[in-house]
Amino acid sequence: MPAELFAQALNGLAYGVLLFLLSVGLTLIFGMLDVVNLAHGSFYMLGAYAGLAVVAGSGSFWLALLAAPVAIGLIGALIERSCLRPLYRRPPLDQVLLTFGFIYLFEDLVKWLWGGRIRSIPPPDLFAGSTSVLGATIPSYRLFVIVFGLVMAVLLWLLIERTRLGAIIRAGVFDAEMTAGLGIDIRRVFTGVFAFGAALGGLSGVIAGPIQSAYPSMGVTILIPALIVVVVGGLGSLKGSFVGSLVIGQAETFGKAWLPDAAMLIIYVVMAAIVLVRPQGLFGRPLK
Amino acid sequence: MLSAFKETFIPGGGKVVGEDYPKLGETDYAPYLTKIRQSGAKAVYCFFSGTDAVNFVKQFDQFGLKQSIRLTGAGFLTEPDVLPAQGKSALGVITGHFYTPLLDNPTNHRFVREFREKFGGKMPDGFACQGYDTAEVIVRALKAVNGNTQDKVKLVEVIEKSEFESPRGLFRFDPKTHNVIQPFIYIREVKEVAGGLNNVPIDRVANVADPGTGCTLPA
Amino acid sequence: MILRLLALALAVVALAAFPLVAGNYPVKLLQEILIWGIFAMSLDLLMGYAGMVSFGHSAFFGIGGYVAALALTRSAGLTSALVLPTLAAGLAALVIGYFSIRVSGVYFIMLTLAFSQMFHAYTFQVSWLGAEDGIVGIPRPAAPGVDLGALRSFHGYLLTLVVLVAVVLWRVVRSPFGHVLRGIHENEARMEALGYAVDRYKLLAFVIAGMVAGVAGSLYAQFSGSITPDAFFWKTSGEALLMVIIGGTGSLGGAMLGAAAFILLQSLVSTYTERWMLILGATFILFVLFAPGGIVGVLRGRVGLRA
Repeated sequence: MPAELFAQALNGLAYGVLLFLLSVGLTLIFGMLDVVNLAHGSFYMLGAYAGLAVVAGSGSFWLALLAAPVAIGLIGALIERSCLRPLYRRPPLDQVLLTFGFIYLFEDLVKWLWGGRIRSIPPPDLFAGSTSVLGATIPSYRLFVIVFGLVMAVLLWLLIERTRLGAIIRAGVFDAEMTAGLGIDIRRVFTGVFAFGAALGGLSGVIAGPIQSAYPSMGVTILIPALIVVVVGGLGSLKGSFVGSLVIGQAETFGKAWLPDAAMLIIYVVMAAIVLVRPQGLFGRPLK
Repeated sequence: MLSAFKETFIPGGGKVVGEDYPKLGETDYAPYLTKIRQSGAKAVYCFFSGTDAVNFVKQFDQFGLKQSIRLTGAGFLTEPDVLPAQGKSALGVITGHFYTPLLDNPTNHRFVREFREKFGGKMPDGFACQGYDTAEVIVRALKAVNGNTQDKVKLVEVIEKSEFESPRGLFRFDPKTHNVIQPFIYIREVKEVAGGLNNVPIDRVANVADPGTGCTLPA
Repeated sequence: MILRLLALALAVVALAAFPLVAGNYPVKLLQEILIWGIFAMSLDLLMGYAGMVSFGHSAFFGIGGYVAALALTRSAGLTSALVLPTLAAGLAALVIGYFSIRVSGVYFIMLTLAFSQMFHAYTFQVSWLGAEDGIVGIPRPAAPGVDLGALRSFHGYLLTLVVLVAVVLWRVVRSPFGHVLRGIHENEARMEALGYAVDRYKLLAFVIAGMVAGVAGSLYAQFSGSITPDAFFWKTSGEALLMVIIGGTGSLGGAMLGAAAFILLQSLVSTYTERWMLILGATFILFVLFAPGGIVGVLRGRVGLRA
């Protein structure tokens, strides 16, 4: 029995780590820019396709891991500067429409360029098989995902908590106006954070590619779980995003394994409960 | 679909050790695959198509389950639209379908050749065959009634009697249920053949008629 | 004022006469626009007037549709078609609203989303509601003296209901209640200080919007003869949201125009090119950047049209 539990827990961890990489960007964007970035799932999807393109062109997964997030980050920066910046003073509804429009745009763009069929991205040969961890069998690639994700989590934590740049970001999330008042070019920080969030979303997409392949609507599918993680963890909180995604990852995995009929419902109930009982999420700032 | 499978599998002596129903559009089958491994099953029968089929077959392979468990399923699991994405993971997978482009009859040879010429080398699948057959039925029926579609009763009669050589074999309707009587249902295995991966017929069942469960259209 | 009413009356007459001049497909398209228009108007009451942005409005659309489906397949009368779905949707709105009103902003969005997704998950699984296939073969209601199965009769029936709902919503918006809602939208704290029981007003707005959405859902079930879990999916809520925003929030006529724009864009563009999603997305983006008041905003600027 314990081996069975452990194997599922590993599955949940791999999925949770993926969600984490995706939701970190979303929570920072939410927390600092107050933007409901519905197109965040699109960054995930674009990342997977960028990864596909790089692997097809160069044969190297590792190159894809480096290049794709950069490309997506650039796209994010472009969108922020040209379309989002004019909207900061406008009601949040306008941002909803804008980002919704980008969902449609990107999904069809990808269909146009790559066709609507699902495309697979092979994992690097190093991780092609499966291994055994404490008696539980898991594909080697998923083990890599877990390790990679945890390392990224530590690096991100160091960045946010222990560097000057991180301090600026944290200040911006806490109170953007005050931070601007301190003489910091908040607009550059906004663009930077948006681009960084987008890049992380793209990275998450590349990592997910070998597991779930690339298809045009994958962004839309992952968007809701990502939004749920952000709400459960707390807007703008890195720690919240980490804990939230691990929790949701386990909840969905064990839900599928043990309570298949309720699997779909579970995460929604969890989210509703959190919003009602503790709306700021596990680690967010208490609401004004 | 799965209850139909059980209807004949269990009386045939088979034992079912587990069942699962992942949602449509599921991307991560890990929890289900772990359960399959832990159930000790010797084979898996499933129904997936499109994106789901690609992800399931690939993940099945990634979890190393192909070594000890035979993967089988309804035909859509390994149709030409998903085989390229599945790659080597699909080798050895067994499915049942009324069609495979590798069927050895003159109509099919011509069909596959002309299809690939017209559509840039794309391999026709079961849906392509169905589309072609449907068009044949319509054209023949229209010819038989001389283009007069006002008399609906006659039109239905004429369609009911459709009979012609389709890429899948002799195409006929069952007069009782108006379902197609499949000339053959092929058991196919994915193998590497000239030109890439494809579904090779390894066995077949002749003249399969769907008894139908009696559905009715509202008046 | 008289001119405005005259223009509206003319529009209604034109819509009623449409089946006489157009073929089946355009008429069905128009009917779809009318149904979604009601749905969008109900959402606009919530969003544009009361300032509550909901991403779960599809819950009431779906409930209206499913209750109508279940009722009509048992007893195909006007009570089944109109009364029961509306009441059911209203009840659901009461419960969901009671919980959702406790939070606001992005949390309200997420909570309403969660509720509608729960309905989606439930109807998707359970066989008594047809699981993912939903319910099909829904008969048209048996109205005295007229066969609603015929295209023209159904058109008249639908148009009558749409006009009725529009008039009701218009009265609500113009009433003291409507003014209080707008006050709450502008400055909730001030309204509370003035002694209004803000939460009760919000809940009532939520219930009214939910009931109208239920009517839309029920009409949709009657129109298409079937209802599936898709009615509950967040995309349905999202599309209604888009319609309201494109039309221009805070305007009932705008919601109807937005529904027309969205549906026409979707149908017409897709007949000419496969890339309709690209064009739709680009259109939204351009709208946001250059026509923020929606269609109504553009019209107001040009022709000085209605409020």
